[in-house]
Amino acid sequence: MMRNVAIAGFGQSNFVKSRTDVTFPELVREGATLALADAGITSSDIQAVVFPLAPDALIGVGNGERWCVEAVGAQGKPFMRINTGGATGLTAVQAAYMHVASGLFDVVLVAGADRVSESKSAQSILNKMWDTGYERLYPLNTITMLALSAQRYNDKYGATEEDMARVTVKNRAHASLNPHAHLRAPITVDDVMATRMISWPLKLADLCPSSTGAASMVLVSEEYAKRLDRPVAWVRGIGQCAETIWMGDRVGPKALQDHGDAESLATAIERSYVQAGITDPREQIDVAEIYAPFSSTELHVIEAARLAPLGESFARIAEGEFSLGSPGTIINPSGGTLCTNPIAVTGLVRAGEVFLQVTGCAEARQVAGASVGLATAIGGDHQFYASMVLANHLEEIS
Amino acid sequence: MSTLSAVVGAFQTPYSPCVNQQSLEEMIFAATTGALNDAGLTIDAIDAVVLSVSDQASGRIIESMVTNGPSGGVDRDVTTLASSSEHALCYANLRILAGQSQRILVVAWGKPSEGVDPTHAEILAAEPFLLRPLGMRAVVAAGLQASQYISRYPIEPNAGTQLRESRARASERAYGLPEGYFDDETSKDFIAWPLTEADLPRRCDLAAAVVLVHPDAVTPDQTPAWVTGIGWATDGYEIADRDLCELTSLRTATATALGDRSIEDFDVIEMTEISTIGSFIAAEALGLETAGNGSRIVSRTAPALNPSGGNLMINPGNAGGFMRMLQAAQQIRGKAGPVQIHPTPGTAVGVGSHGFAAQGSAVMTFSATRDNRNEV
Repeated sequence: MMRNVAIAGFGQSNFVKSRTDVTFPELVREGATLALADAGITSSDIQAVVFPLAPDALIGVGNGERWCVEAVGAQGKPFMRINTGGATGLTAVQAAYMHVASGLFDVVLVAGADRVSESKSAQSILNKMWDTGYERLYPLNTITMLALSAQRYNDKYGATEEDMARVTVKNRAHASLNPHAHLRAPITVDDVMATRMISWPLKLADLCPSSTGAASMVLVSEEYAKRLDRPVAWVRGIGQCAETIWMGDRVGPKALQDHGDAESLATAIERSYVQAGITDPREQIDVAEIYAPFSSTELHVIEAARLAPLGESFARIAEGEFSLGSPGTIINPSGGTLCTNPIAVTGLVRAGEVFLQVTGCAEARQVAGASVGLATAIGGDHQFYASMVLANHLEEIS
Repeated sequence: MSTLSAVVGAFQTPYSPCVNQQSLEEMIFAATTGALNDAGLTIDAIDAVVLSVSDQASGRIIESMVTNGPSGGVDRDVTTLASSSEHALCYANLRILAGQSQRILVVAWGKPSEGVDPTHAEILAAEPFLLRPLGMRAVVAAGLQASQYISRYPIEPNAGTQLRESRARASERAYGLPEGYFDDETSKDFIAWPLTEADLPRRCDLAAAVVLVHPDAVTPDQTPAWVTGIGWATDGYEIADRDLCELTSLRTATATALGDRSIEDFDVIEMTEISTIGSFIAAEALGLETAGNGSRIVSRTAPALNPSGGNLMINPGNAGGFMRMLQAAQQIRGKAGPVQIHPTPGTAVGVGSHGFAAQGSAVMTFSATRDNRNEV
């Protein structure tokens, strides 16, 4: 890590099913305005803008980022767009980190939004992710794709649908404390089990919503951070890793990786741990905002982050671990992706929530004493992975 | 001037208006393996992959999913830039400067022949409330820009034709095509007044890759083009709010990349031309000509402008800007093939543009010599 980079501001709208009061650029501007205000700066202070936008088709405009240049005050400035599917938001934060760490910029804005439900057929659109001649025809979508992963995980480790339901229960309880979350109503295991089956073993309450909303973040150099009158979160480690598109190459004796686990995500997280000096995450990570759009996904992401041994995350959740108020690492105190999923900025919200936690600004969902946090994101067909470790200090992480 | 990084490998697939013997994935694999071979490296030496995608041109929802594998991205750090292919190269430089990468494979492509209707896909780039109902797309924006220019400045009636002739001959040489190949019958009808088919880029299929490395990672057996400057910027989206003759994004990107150097200091310029008249406007924004005199580039001999023929004849869509950077680097490396300038140039500039009437631009400068004075 050559140049220290800090997150100095974060803003997010309240996430909902749809917004009819704003155009897409207006929605993006809403998030950007909040982040700039949070950092105590104006758009004239911004030197470059990174725009996270995942599938163009979800907003129905090709290269929709260009439409938003005025909305984020980027005219005359460096401006680029990232698209790594669901990982886009966190990859964009990493891209902004590169801008500042390069030494070429001191203040960079990440600004984006999504309106997933307004595409009317998000899963039909997402089916078009796969190659035209083979796997698209099955037909796969993000639900059936991860249902296969859940089947594999449950078979391999003995988890049950009730174990999955407990993830939803935990995250909904957390989301009830988060005014920005989309699904905020608390729910019980029986409630989850009673919802209709979508793709076995995933039921409706095991799934994230299609969310509309905006998020934005300001990243600054160490020199610039010193001039701001506010607490910041330092980027201590970043990592990414990608795997094959082919679902068929993730099972069987010649599998490149096991679809029940999240091995490439583990690689991405480990890369960020190495940079941050994290060797024992259960002891060193206070809070984790992990990208898990479905209840089953959270189980193997917890394990990929080494916050529980392989195949043990569901038993830990059943014992009450990872919930607000419990000892150890708290996972998804915001309610996570399971309660709010505006795809293009979901990864950005993960980093933003960790920023709020380690700067003590997470209000009712605050993890007491949080100083080090982990944010992760997943994109494509569980293919693109990103990870980031944030801390409220630059000292060695103990 | 300082040295930011170095291009040590590059490869592009052969020219074809329609590649029907290879899938897109196979074209990309050919490009990436070609670039690695050129650099004398294997994929094991690469620590990050940066891709440039265009979902709407491709018809794939997250195009990088299927192209990641043939780009060598499996089990690697992969970032996808969707705003333009030239941004992919800028971002790769940022990664190296940030200390996060030593050797990066940067890949871009265009296969418009696979598209059912690439023109219709272009229309989707217009916002749905005003511009899309008007039929706004790349050629319409280029036409508006050209009409604004000729209403402001008188230009020689055949200046566009002369430029096209020059680009056609250069492209034929660059790609081993028979002389006159591009003299096929093009429509004289206006597509977007004052532009006809002959004034606009011709689509083709092409994949290309570059190996970009940290300056200290260059080995004695490699032939580097040292990257000495980068700059990129955007203008506003609202085309009616812009002076389309000014290309402020290109002016800003040029100033950033060149620093205190003059464009006249460079031996070679490879730049995106969104139309014949658009080329004159870009030349003015680069500082090659004064306002209203951009058409003088047709008789210029130095700096050499688009010796590869540029993108008017060979336009691989989203990869167009990337190709300008690649061609500029190849001139420095002495690897520009039939259009190599002799003696080998010492300095070069690559210019990419994207969006309606070049809303955004990026500039990279290259040198044959490494400057250690201000390295980051």
